[in-house]
Amino acid sequence: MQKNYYLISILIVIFSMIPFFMMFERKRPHAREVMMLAVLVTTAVLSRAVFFMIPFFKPMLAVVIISAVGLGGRCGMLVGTLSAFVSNFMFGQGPWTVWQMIATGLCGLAAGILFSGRYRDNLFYTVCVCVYGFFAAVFIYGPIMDTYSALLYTGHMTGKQFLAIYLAGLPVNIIHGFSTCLFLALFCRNMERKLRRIKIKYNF
Amino acid sequence: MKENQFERWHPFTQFLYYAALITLVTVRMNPVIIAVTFVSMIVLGALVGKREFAKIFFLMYLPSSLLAVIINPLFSHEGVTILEYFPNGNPFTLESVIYGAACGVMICSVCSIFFSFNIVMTSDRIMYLTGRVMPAIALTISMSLRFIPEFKRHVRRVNRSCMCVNGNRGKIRNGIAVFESVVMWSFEKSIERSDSMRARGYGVRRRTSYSKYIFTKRDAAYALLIVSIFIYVLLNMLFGSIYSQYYPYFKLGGNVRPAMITYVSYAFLTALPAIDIIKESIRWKLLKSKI
Repeated sequence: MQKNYYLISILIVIFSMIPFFMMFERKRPHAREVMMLAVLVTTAVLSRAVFFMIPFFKPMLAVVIISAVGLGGRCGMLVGTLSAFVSNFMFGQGPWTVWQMIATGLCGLAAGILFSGRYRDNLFYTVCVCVYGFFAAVFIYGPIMDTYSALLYTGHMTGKQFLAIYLAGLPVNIIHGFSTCLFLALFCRNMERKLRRIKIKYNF
Repeated sequence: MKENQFERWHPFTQFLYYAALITLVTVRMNPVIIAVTFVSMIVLGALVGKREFAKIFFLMYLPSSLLAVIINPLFSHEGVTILEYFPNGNPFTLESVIYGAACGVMICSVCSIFFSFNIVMTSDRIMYLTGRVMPAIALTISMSLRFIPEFKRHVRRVNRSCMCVNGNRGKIRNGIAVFESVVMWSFEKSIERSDSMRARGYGVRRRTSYSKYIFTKRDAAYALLIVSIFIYVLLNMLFGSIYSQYYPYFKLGGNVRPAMITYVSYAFLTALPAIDIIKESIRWKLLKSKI
């Protein structure tokens, strides 16, 4: 019997995101949290929309990482998944939507785990975040999206096919990594400062 | 633009239709099912999207599915019918070509399914569906959808005043200044707005939502039809009368009559919206000619 991983993989991706959404629902979030999240999602979506003319050069991941650094991993996960979902209202939904959601979400989650609470406003940490941004794009976001295209094009797995597709995706991922790194270098410190200010000013 | 008959379905029924289609097309890669979906999705795409569909179909979907047809025989050497050998000695098999073609047509039909999905399932329909299950997430999404045009307007405004105050300092420096100003403005504004939401009783009780969708008898009938055909075809595909395999040799099995019934009922399922649209337009023409 021919095994087909296409549907199974999509279902796994969807079900792995549900706990985060459910956690958010269960917490009965405050209106301020919802609004904050909505603003961050909008910023991420618009940053993708502004640069859509240049292929693979997207600051969306940078915005997601910054919000994770400022507000924690769970928030990063939500901002990542939702901004991928919302931005696809502009660029078209498809089977790739769920993959983009989990990929950006995981980048945010990992950023939150690594930096949230630990981040200090100095050069060292900014460089750390930039380096992390590069690696997140190349080693988290890229491979997940490549896995999606591998499953789409072949339907069943062999190691060689996967290797070929990962290698083919590498240049694209490196461009994406550089753009993420660049945008983090430009905006990370100021954005984080602003997030912190909001957090202190309105106390949440 | 005037809504067509399919766009007047209840969001839940539309969602059922798309979920059934995606599941059945991808679950076993049955070639007949794929071919049926392909044809009816082209019809539906043409009815819903018209010229835009033709453009995207020939420029995007067909080339990307051709890629799958080419890629598969290069990497997969399973199968018993060997046609030729590659220079490096790997066999080039008929089965891998057939599998690649099936895969290509499947990609094409999945893309076409999502083409009509993007037109029919507008964002407020998706909001309506998710709002039932996950109200807070749905609220976040609809808020950010609402913020997008507002942000754009504000960016333009800030950009103009920035140019006025500082002169043209180059695109990048201006861009950074505008971006930061807009982010700060939106944070402050959102906090203000959320306080106003709280003052009006957000979170006190379950949120109700505005919706203009009514679940009519027709929707119920269609939903029932879709679910029953879906279960029938799925069971047949997993345990029963229709059967297909690609490796080691290509085979399309099953008793002819039950298989035919399954395929025809599946074809009916996929054609349901197209039938509805065409029926309505014929009725409209007839009524018009009577006047």
